[in-house]
Amino acid sequence: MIITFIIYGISVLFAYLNSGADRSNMLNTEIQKIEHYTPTFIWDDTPNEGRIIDSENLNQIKDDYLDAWYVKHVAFKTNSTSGIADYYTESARENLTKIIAQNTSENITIEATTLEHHPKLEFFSEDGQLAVLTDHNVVEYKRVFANNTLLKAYEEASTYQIILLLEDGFWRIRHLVKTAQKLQSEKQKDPIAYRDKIKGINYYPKASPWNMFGDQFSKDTIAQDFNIIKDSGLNTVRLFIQYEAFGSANVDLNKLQRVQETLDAAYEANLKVFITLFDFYGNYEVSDWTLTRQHAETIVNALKSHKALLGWDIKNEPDLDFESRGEFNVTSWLKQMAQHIKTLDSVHPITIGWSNPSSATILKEELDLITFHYYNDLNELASNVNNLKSEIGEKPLILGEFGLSSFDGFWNPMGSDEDDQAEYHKKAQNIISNLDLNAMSWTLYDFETIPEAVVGSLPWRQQNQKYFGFLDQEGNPKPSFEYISSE
Amino acid sequence: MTFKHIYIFFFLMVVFNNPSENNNSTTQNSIVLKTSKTAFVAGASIFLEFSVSKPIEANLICTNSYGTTVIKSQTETSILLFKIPELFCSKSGILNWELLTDTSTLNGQLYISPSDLASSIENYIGPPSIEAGGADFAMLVSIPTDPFDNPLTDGTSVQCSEQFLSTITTESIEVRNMIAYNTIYSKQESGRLLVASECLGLNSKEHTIMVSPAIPSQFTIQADRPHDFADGNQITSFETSVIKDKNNNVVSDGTYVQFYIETHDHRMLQTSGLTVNGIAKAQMIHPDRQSSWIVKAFIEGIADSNEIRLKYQPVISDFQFSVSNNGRTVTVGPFKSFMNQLIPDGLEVTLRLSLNNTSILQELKASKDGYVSFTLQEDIVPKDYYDIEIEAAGIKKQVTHVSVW
Repeated sequence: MIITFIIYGISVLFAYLNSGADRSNMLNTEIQKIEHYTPTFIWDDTPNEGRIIDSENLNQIKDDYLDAWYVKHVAFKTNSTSGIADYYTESARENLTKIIAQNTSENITIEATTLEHHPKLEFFSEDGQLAVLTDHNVVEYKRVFANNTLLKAYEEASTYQIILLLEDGFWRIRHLVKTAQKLQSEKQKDPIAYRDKIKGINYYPKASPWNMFGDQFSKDTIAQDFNIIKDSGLNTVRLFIQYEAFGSANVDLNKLQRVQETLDAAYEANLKVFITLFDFYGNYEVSDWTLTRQHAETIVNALKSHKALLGWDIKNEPDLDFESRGEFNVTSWLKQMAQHIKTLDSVHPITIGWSNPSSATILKEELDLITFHYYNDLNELASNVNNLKSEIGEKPLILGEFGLSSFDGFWNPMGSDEDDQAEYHKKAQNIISNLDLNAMSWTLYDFETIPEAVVGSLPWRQQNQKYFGFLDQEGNPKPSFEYISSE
Repeated sequence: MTFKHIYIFFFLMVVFNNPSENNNSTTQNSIVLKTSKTAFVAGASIFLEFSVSKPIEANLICTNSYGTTVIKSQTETSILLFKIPELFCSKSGILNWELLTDTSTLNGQLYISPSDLASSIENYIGPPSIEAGGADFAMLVSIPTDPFDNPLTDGTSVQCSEQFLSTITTESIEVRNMIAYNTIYSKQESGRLLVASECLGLNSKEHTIMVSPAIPSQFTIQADRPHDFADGNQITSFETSVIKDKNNNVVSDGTYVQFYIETHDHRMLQTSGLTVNGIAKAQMIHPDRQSSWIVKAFIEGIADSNEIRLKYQPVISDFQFSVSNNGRTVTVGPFKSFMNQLIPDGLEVTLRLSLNNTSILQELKASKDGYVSFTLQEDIVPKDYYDIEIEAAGIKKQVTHVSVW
């Protein structure tokens, strides 16, 4: 036995020592561009004066111009001037270094990003060395800090005129003049009414929870499950799109295709779909905004015309990040994302899946539907709902998640069993129909494995999370299945 | 009905036309902006003054084209005073300010215009070399700036002067989108075009655009040779006419001209030359036997010349050779030229030795003092009876069954 371990140990060590740099690493040939800044960027394509521009040069101007903005944001955030020299000419960078010096001495930092650019190329010189842009309606989001306390966060929309020179292969800013600015007024949009009653369920396939659109994706399995859901009297499923697994800023189009196929399956089963975006996302920093906006843009534009789509849930339980990331960071991210998705899709309602009723009023003005999750005592559900209704007024209320685990094994001997679970759902359905509430339960299946990212690695939590299903791991109905719907 | 429309129009005007200065009066707070001026010239100091009912401390966020900073107030009893930092006063464009107090925020905009003094003109000219003929052009882009490095306002006029040969012209252009640009077309002639600009009394330095001749047009060639004999010694020179572009400008020095010579037996010879003052010269040694050439010159892919034909007369009609020293020495000559003079050294003579139609030896030698002598070494040519062939100036002579001992 011991010898086996020793041999194993030696072999692992030997294998490690044998693994060296492969040739591609050795030569540093695989340097890939990392996307760090992706604001909406739309060229006004009316012809420019001077030489006719080609797409090659136009893209280079775009890349360097955006990089100039990016290094400026970083410079003002950190009060350092690294990178400035690459994107501003010698005379222009003086303006930045002076302000940075002033801010350093006063301990002022500015966190900023731009969300939108609408540039027009005004002029491109005959020798291709000079370009003039007018960048209209540059939407900038800024947070001004003095001595590390936030003074003010605001959004502004400005128009800039820029002269760029091609120096050493970089398009560098020579002049930058703000020609117009208005403080962004709050974008008030009419809420999108949604009046159909939602009777739904949070759905993951039994074999691939939290990784529904990975390699195990099978449209047939999902179609079968959707038929089970449909036949049980439900009309809606809530699905999740994981931010990083979907490629962050550059969305994995294969996975997006699988989401589309899933929506097709839902349409065939006559189910509506709530899509929850940004699952497992947790950065929220201003410097990350443009990346998340590009992510949302790709997904929303791809899916917004699908007939099965019911609405967008921007993020699942973001209030749980308040403590680690700061409530202000999280809510300001959510707010701009809500506004962004509204401009991308003016048809489908948006909501946020708050983890409890007391969080549910946050950002209520920005949302079309108010969603909260409820895993507490059912006896207090009605009073919670009534309180909420009085606070949110007309907007429809959704109970986005509720359920009970039927796990009563070793780690939780006092827990509820399958009969308790059935009783819970019976009671829940009763309350839901009495309150005439939109509701989506958690979840269709018991799962065999739970990824660590969901509830951590502690076995009592893992085990508990596995048994929320109406169907067991073999797919047989548990007693609660009778009460999956109020009908 | 019309009255109603006008009423609605004015009502909407009032609702939507909400300039930033008005924001101040709408605040419930007792802080009121005293400074009414909103337009400044770059470089002037700017103070923002607010009247307050009781002394408070406040911050002013200040944003211009390049960045944002926060200014602390200089508080007096009933006045809140902010001095906008110099670097914000000196950059043109919109300056946005926002007053932060514990209870409320006020905001507004100032417009800083560039001063109407030009202190530098940056000129960008390109491409630096253009083609004569009036179709090609270069571009002058002028960026006049004020003492604070702000581009001047749109509409400022810039004089763009150009000098070419004996003409000097001046054109007035206007700054638009921070730059003024002018397209400078080439003329029919080639030469140096000098460009300069002037703005508000400030002059730029001189810039040069080279106007180079356009592509060459067709040309002619001629040949020059000391005599027309194929002596393999003298040199035939070729020369082009003065090569010009379509506008009669002599092409740039160094234009590469290639001469192709086709001989009567369809062999190609090549020589080349570069132009100097439009003329390219090239040379070719005379053939060593009777021949006739067709010569044509090309500037590859652009222009070509006429064809000229040259004939070369034979200089040698016959020659003698003798075998001596037991057949081991073959002496060829004397070779006599067109005046019976001994031919200049260097005529090529070939000896071919064969045994029963199998080639044993081939040797090439150049003539010296009118003769060529071949020595057959014993280790290469064993004792036997050989056939010998001699070739010179295109004439072949044979002798069979020579005893080599």
